[in-house]
Order: sequence, then structure tokens, then C-alpha cells
Amino acid sequence: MHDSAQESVITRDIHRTFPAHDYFKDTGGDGQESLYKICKAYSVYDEDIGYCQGQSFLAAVLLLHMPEEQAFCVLVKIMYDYGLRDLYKNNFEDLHCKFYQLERLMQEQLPDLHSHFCDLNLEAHMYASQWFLTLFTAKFPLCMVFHILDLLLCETSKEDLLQADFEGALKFFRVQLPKRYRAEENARRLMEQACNIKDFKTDLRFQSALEEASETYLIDLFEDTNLCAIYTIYVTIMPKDFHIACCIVGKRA
Amino acid sequence: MGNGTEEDYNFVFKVVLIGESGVGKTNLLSRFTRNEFNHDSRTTIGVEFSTRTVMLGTAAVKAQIWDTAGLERYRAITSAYYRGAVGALLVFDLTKHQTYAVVERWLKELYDHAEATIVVMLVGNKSDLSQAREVPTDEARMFAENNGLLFLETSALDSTNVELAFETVLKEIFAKVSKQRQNSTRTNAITLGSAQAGQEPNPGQKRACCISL
Repeated sequence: MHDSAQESVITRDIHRTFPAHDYFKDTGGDGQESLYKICKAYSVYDEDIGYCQGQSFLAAVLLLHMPEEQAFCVLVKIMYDYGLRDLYKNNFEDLHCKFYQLERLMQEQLPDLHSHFCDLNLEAHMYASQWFLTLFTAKFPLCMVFHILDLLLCETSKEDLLQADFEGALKFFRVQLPKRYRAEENARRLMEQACNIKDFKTDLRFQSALEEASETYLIDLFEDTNLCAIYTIYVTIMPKDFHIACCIVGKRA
Repeated sequence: MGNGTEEDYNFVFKVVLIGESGVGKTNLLSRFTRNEFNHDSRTTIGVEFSTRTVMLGTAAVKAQIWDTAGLERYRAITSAYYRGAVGALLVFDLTKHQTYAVVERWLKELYDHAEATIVVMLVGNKSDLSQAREVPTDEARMFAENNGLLFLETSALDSTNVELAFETVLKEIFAKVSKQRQNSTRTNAITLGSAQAGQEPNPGQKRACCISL
């Protein structure tokens, strides 16, 4: 037994993790039970950080693809080896660093949008906390990840956002954006584009160490798995989805 | 008090929703801004944001409401949102005494980061679950009175007092702002520091935020 306070946080979160999803909707059902076990196990395993609210989303996504034990191992890997854990340390110091990096990236690559957001006093932490802390799992199909912002800003959304006011822009991130990628086709197209701008990404890497730092953990994770387009939380899971687990476990374990 | 159009407003009031995890902050907000209640609401990570414009007398007031994650760990993130807030709803779950027991700590947290003039209402949510009540109304009301807080019991589920709670807070802020404006007009002075409690958007150019204190 670790800490009963953590336990009650976990219990409370289990009901609020993909509550509309078939596998997780039933109180006391298999999905919720497995989810509880993984979160609880992690809280015991990682004494310093413990269970982090939001982690249940990541755990749930993993559980949709693999059995409990594997899901737990992958979760541990992502937390430790891919640096997700660092975001939670020292009062989220690292997370704030990521926000800073994201904003600098925008400033460099999308100066007009960056200055628009500055005018609106719209800061990265207002929309990106969830993205980073949950690896994009809380609102999106996991396949969206880091390129979402860069990509969406490269295409039509940028025009819309340039017209948007403070509320409008935040509403876009909250409602329209996740909605758009519920359609599998849209998600797949975005991922194709993400792969196509690899050069852009590579250039960045050579140009700036800062940018590299900002991308490291996500890029690592998703370069290894070109299969991430499959990670669609809202759609039916297909057999090939299981490959991603093997891929992550195999390469990183 | 009715809905104004989203585009027309005279004031922007920044309000924060705070309190322990699972007390129903997100549903209070969705009830107020969209008249919705979601049995399957998701855990709030970090912050969420919503607005509603209401008429107070002849003035259109836009409430810009930040719904924060309740978990202790996230306070390092969420406390940043207290800055510039002119109102706060400190929510507890009246069926869980533990969420009430820590109200004092929340209050301290709030006053550490927000302006002293912030209007705070203590809200006991989930009044529809009266059979499971663990916090007596009188006890909470007494605490509120002793600490200079407004107090109401609400139910986001059946809508009881939700409208009234937000409305009361906004009115109180509005009264402060009006008084403040009168004073500054009379003395023709520029007020610095904590006395000013709201901001009028520049006509023609809408300011996005109401960091005003």
C-alpha cells in the first residue's frame, strides 16, 4: 500500500477517463479495473512522482492495445525514458520550459500567429498543458501529438485563427480541433503531412539545439512508431493497432 | 439577467473556479455557460476556459471563467490563473467533508496569488445528494461569514442556484467596479494597485484579457 490519498485520486479519475468509451464506461468493468491497477502500480513504482492526474488517459490508450503488464511497462518506459516524467518534476519546471520552447518555435516559424496570440495575451500554457502532460491523449487521438500545432498552423486553420479573438482561438483548441481529428481520414491525412515535413523538422534540428530539445521526447517516441496514425482513441481498434505496442516495447524495452 | 450577445460587452470579468478534485467545478461551469450537465465528464488537466455574457442592468458583462484542475499537484500551474482574477468560486462537495475541510487552505492559496479585493464565493455543490450530506449548511455559512465570503449551495445536476451563484459574484464585482469608477471620477486620480476591480474594454479594440489589478 502506498498512500491512501493517491488511491482516492486514482479512484476518482478512473471514472473520468474516456467515460464514453465502451471499454472504460462501466464502473467496475474490466477496463476500469485494469486502468486502476496500472495507475496504482505506477504510483507505487515511482515514489517521487506517484500517480499524476492525466496519466490515466495515457494508461487507458495503452490498455486498448495490450494486456495490463505490457501496458504498465510501456507506461514506465514513456515516463522514464521518453522524459514525460520530467514534466512533473520540480513544480513543472520542465513543462514551463516546453511552453517557452513552443512559443519561441511559433515566433520563428509562424511570426504572424505568434504576434496575434501575444496581442491576445494567449499563452501556450492555456492550451498546451493538457497536450504535453497527457501526451495528447486526453483530447486527441494519440497519433496527433507534437506536429498538431505546427501542422495545423501551416494549413487552413491559420487563416481562421488569425481572424479569431481570444475566446475564439481558445475555443478552436478546445472544440473544433479535437473534433476534426475524430474522423479517421483527417487524422491519417495529418499524419501523412507530418511525415512529409520531416525535412523541416530535420532542418530545425540542425539549426537550433533549442528546437531539438523541445521536440525530443515526442519525436523519439513517434519516429520509432510510424504506426501512430493507428492510435485513434475514438474509433474501433483494429488488429494492426497491436503492432504499435510491440513496436514500442520491442525497440525500447 | 439575460444572455447578451457574445460580441457586445462593456466589461470583462475574470473569474476562477477552484476547489478539490471531483467537487464538480467543470459541471458548474458547463451548466452556467452552456446549460449542460455531463455525467461522464472528464478529469480536468491544467485549466479549461469558457465565457458567458450577461446583462447587469444596462451593462453587458462578459464573465471569462477559468476552470482549474483541483489536484494539489497542479496548483503550480493553476495558481497562475489567479492573477488578475476579480472573482472566484471556491467549490466543495457537500457530500464529502474532506473537500470542505481544506477550504481554508484553498483560500490562503487564492489570497497568496490574487488581489485582496477579489470577490470570493464559497459554493457547496451537489445539493441534490442531500441524503449523503456531510457538511451542514450552517457550518459552511458560518465559515463563509467569518471569512468575508459569499455563500451558496448549488447543484450543477439539477441547476439549483448555479445561475444565482455566478450572478451574485458578478453583481458584487460589478458593484465594486462601479464604486471604484465613481471614486476615480470624483478624485480624477489614477488608481494603482489593488483598488481597481475590473476593466472596460477599449471601444473599437477588444482587449483579450482582463488583467486589470
